[in-house]
Amino acid sequence: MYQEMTKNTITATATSGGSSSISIVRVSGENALDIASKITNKTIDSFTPREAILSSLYDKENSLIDRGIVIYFKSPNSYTGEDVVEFQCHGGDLIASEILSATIEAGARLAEPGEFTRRAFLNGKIDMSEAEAIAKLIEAKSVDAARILAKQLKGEVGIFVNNIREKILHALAYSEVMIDYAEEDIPDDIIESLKTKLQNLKNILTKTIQSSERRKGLIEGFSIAFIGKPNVGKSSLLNALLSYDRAIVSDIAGTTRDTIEERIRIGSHIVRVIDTAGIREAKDKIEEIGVARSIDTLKSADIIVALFDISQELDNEDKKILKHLENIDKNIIVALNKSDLKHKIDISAFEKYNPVKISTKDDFEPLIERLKDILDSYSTEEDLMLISQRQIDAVKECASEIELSITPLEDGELEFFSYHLKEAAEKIGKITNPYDNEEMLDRMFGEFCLGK
Amino acid sequence: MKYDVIVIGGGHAGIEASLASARMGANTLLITILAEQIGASSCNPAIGGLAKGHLVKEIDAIGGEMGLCTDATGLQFRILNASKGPAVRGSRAQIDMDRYRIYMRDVVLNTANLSVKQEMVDGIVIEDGEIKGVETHLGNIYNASKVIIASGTFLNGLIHIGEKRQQAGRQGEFASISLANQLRDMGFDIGRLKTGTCARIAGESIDFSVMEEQPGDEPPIPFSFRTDRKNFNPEQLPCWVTYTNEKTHQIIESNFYRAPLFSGQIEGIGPRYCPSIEDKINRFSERPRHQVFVEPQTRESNEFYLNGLSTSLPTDVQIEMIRSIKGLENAKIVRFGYAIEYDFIQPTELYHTLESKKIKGLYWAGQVNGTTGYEEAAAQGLMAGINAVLALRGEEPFVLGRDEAYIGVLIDDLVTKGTNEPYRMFTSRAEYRLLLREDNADMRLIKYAEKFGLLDRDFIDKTIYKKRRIQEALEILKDNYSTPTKEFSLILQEMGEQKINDKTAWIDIVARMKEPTKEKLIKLFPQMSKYSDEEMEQILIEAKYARYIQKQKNQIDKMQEMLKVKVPEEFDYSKVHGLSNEIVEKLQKATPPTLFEASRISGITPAAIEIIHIYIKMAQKGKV
Repeated sequence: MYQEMTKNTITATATSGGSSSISIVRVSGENALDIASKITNKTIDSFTPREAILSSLYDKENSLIDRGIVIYFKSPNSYTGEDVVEFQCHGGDLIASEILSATIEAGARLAEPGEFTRRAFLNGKIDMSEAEAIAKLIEAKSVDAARILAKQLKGEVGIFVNNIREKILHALAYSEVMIDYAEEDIPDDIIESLKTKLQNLKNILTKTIQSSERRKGLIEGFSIAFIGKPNVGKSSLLNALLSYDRAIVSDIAGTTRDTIEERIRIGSHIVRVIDTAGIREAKDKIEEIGVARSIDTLKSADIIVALFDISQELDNEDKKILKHLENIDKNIIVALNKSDLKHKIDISAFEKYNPVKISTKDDFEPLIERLKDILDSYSTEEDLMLISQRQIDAVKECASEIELSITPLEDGELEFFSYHLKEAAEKIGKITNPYDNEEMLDRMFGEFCLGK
Repeated sequence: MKYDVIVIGGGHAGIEASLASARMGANTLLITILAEQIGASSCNPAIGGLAKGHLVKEIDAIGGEMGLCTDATGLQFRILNASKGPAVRGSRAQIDMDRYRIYMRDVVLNTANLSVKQEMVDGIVIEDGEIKGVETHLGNIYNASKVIIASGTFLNGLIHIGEKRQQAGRQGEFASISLANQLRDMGFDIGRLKTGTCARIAGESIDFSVMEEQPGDEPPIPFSFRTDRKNFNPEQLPCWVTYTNEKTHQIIESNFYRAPLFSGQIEGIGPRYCPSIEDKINRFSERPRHQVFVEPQTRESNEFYLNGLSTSLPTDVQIEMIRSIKGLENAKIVRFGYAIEYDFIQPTELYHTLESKKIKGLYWAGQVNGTTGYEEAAAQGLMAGINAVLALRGEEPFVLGRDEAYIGVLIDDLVTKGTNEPYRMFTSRAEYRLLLREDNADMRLIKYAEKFGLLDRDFIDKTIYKKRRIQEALEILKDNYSTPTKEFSLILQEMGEQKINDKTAWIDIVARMKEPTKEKLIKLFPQMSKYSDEEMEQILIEAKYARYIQKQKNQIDKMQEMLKVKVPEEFDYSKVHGLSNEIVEKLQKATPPTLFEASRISGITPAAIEIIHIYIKMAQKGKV
């Protein structure tokens, strides 16, 4: 086992494959400089920290692989906090992989996914929320996501966590003083003021959770669910939307045969568009399942687009859809399709939704504009955004411990009050320093692509 | 003369150390400068208090003397924090300090295997890094392979009253200079601390009619688990509360320049938790008043202690300041307050057994280890005494875990973190506070009392029986459920408790009660009627705490699992980047075989252990 530990210089290609003009191979660990020396045939003294030098790069048999730039970052002033050497070579998978092999021959081992960032975390270069931001930033596909993640990388979440923790510890200190200095003159209104402070704190946490969950789509892509009876024009609308922007990210077959998912770009946002089977009186078991799924889809979507045929009068199925919309607390857009045909529908039934009129044949811009407005409103919110379920869960647990602390505070059972506050402080602290949960670390860093 | 164990000092630490040692059968010698002063209370006439009460109960449960002596000589008994939960309640007693001292001196003199010598130790005798004995100012040499230093404030003691300075171990007693200098010369990490006490006032000169009376609890509850609670009925005396005022503060402020604390005359660091009045006025200038507790020193009430008014101001300022306080306008001062500076050893020089790392067989206990308080001192004395004997016998040392006792927390804090100010116990220092209660100290520690034979067989059997009965009752409460029938809901409603909506375990029904009582429990679950009042008290507490206790036990288990992790041979701590250089250096030197041993090294924080743990785990998977 100790053998494994000493062999702790890792290597990976830091750039993604394909026909890019340059590739970078990165080596981190105590032998990094030694490896650089072997590959360049230069002495160790030839490398000055942070200085780019042009050098020939050789493999084990001393035959030339490429000429490239070599940069040495001296510990602790590097991404991982260890000695790091970067080899910038000509693009293409072939050269990079030859250099990678050369570094392995020279004593490094292939890094595991996320290992560079894991080391940065363990070496105290970044906290957990920053590591998460890096992981997501690599995957980020929208401008908004990148903006939010960049804020996190600057330690925004860390500041939030510390601030909350401070406030909890402040309340805890009061409690401990009241316990351990029972004999002293302590103002009577402390309990009331503590209660108010904690309730405020809980509200902040709840608000942060809500606003993060609402805006989750900024990172993961928002989902828009389409609902409408058959032949109302859903399919043509979807097709029209897909051709509206050629930047189709992917086609993902729906998880069920009843819902179909597509990714499209609206403005600066990547959205997932989900078609649902519709809601009608189920005639058999299978249809019943389909209807239930449709309702679930609606509930999980960020935005619902309900389609109605303007050229027909409302029928039972339309009414049923309207009834379901009543119970859903989401952004809802009612789109009245076939506006080029004669209007027969009773528009007053949709009054409260301020419907848009579209024609999938030639004019669906009003819908696009409405969607853009809603999506933009998410990205203009300036509140702190928690970017992972892990962060959201930690804040939820913290809020729940604070909630639990209030009854014992009112009853004067300060030892329980303190207990819950300690738990609350620990829970929120886990966002940035989850040291005691190794599995979580594995999972977390496993999400990275190789090389980071 | 040859002894097994020699104890230097007859204060609260020295008494427990020598009694434990002698009672475990070791031939023990207690050497003290003044035999009259064995068990003297240099400061306030009180034992216990928050967290300190826990220590006294634990000392008692292992077989120490402090609790019994307090019960025998107490003037007033109170439970502090009675309105808060049982885990943070603290027993406190005012004692008759004369009778306390005499009681202790008599116990010491009448204990088999224990001799007393009124001499001053001038030096310790060492050969090849091992203790061999002590030499006294009379030129006598006493040999022993175990020596316990329990010198309190006596090493290089220096008293300050205003500009006046005087070498003394305590007011009116010799300081121990020669021993102190030898210990310094030997290279022990010796520092200076400061503590202080208040003036004592003649009882007949105090006007109690203008002060608030603070009576004892009725009925009084004794400290010792061995005291018969039913027949415990000492006559109680009240304490009195008065307050400083603006005039008092102004007198003090205008004399700051004469205060040794501020003039630079005192170099030692004083207790933040028990500051002198001049320090309080200086630091909390916005407070319009400070409490002063006026406490009787003896049953005869001839002299009173002014708790909260510790000072080393010059005598004329002391008089003026005290006479500015309501009820003390005509106060006659019998003894002036003073500050004392003394040598202490940085306790990181000690193992968890309180044995010195430098000199084999040399133990340190009490205030000399940087603590403050009679209770903290006594606890260390007891542990040093037991460990000295165990070492003599070649047996496993006795170390209490942080999850077992406040004593464990106290010693672990001292030897792993060290201290730069007088260390005082707080309930908040105990991570597992909900488990470590005063009320269950006997059951927590009975196995040790049994192991070391420091308590009567009868008492041990009784306690083990009680523990078993309580466990059995809790099992019943955990294993049985009630359904929300009409009748059951009605009973709950009639007793003013919330009804249940689902099938609920009995223990949860008790846990959610607003006011759980024995009567309610029996009415709901008639089979609980077989338990005695004393057992029932524990059953109710344990039931109320059950959920929390389970969580804390899980945390302990998790921690212990982690501590079992082996550190690979030749493990290179410098590779673990989250660690400070100081920690890396200590670990590289100590090469602990497991994380448990690593955690015992001074200065190694729990956070450091967690980082190393992760690192080892990942190394095992070949990820580092």
